[in-house]
Amino acid sequence: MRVNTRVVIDISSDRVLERECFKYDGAVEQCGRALEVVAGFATNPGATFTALTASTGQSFTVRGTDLNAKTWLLSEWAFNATVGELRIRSPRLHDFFSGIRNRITAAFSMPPNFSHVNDSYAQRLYAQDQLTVELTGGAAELDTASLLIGYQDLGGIAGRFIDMPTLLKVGLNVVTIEVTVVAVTTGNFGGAVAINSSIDNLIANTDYAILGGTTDTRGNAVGVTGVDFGNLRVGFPAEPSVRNLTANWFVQLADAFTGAWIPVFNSANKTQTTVDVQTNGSGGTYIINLNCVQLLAGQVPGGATGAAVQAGGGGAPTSAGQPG
Amino acid sequence: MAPNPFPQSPDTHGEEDFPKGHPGRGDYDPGSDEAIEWARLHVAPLGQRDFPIDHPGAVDTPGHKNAITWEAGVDPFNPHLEAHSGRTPAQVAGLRALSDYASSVAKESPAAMPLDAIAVNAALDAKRKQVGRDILTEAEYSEVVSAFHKFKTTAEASAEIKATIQRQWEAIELLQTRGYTRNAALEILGREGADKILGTAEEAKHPEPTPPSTPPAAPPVSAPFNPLRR
Repeated sequence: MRVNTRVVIDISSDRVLERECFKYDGAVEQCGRALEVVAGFATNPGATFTALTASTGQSFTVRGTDLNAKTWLLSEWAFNATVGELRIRSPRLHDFFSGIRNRITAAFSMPPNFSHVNDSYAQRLYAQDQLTVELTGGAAELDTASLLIGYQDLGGIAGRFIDMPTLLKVGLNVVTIEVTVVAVTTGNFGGAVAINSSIDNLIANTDYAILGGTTDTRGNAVGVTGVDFGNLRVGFPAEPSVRNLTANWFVQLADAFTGAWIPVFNSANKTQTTVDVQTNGSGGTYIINLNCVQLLAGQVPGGATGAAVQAGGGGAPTSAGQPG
Repeated sequence: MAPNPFPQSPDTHGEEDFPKGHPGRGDYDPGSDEAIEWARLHVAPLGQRDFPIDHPGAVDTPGHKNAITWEAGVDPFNPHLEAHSGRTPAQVAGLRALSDYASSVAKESPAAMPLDAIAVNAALDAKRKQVGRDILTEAEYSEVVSAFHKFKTTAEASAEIKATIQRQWEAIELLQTRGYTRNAALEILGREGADKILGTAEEAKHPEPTPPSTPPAAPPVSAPFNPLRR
């Protein structure tokens, strides 16, 4: 059963007056979605293809319990200090000999192949398939790579995502969320901070769509985790030199594949929605900007709150619209 | 003679027809300094030059900037500054040391267990209603989420999932042996289900015996093999 929630809040006292959950009968194709960036690292791979060790709590085995639920490899990228090759194989895909193999240029963390920022074609994946992800690179360094996997209906997750028409319909104001993340040097995701840890300017009980983000330091991946995404980590490359491509990463994802791939979170969950970074052995301090759009209340299924806050929150009563 | 400070005003000494050194002048002297300079500035085969002589964009202009590489984030006139930030090397070194220390003590992100966002949000809503606040404390939040962790996938459930997937692959492979593409097989699998596909195959492989209505015909009698017969 899908549920939505309506909340009435007294603006003056900031108290919840009324709250009720009700069954959601909206578009099913926007329910059950999940998006996950799975990152891994290879230690001193040199010229030998080395299987990546997935970051803590992650796996290169495709989630899912049903082959009919469509799953996609939406993007993949790597961050090498030394030039190398990224190879993704599975007997279920084209071949297990060479598969998807791409040159990784040094110190540039963007997709070499599935680059939806210029439109793309996604590789279908199959539930429980164990992908073989390998990397070559430097002989005395830790090299990293990421896969961005999209699940059109992942049972037991049901993350909150919207497509472009919905964003245009219910978008209100643009807001930037800035956080500072100190990455770890182990090759795992680390340094998680709450999304409101640096600047707590989000309007209470309001949905926000994450369009993408930018970073000032190069790394492998920026991750955003929260219950609104089913506790899976959505993410984008930590590449500072092409900010125009990462700034609207999820918008381009939704645009390229004409689907609901723009993650939405509610500010009621801001303390439990975290941002972290995965990078190589250098670690580093990252200033991350997440480009977000405030949404009209009650428009995205599964939200935590309702319309009462919007009027006092500075938002327009209806969508602000977009240039025609 | 001092130059005319107002070149747009009428020249009291008479307007010259061509500048000094121009071959059109009546006093043209090819060997004069003016003529040589004029030729240097103006004589070039048509289409040979992209910019006039001494233009800052011309490749033969001393000090031209055509060879500068404009790398992203780098000021080519201050290449010693850090790309994208413009920090001095001393600043970079200091920040690097600070960042290295911070990274050495930073913690890895905890592994989060996947949850149903809609169900958890509904449960969090109920908790918020109960406490009358929108922002829950860490303990309140954990209390709600931990209830969902009780439904963590067991080893038996994982084995069951793998068995289901395996059966679905068997159904797909069976359909592929019958000439269906993988995409078509997946569609049929979605419509019919693995049990039906494999069940149908089992029935086709082992049909139930039916009593013959007529006695089977006797096998034809063939002539014995004779190697000399052509």
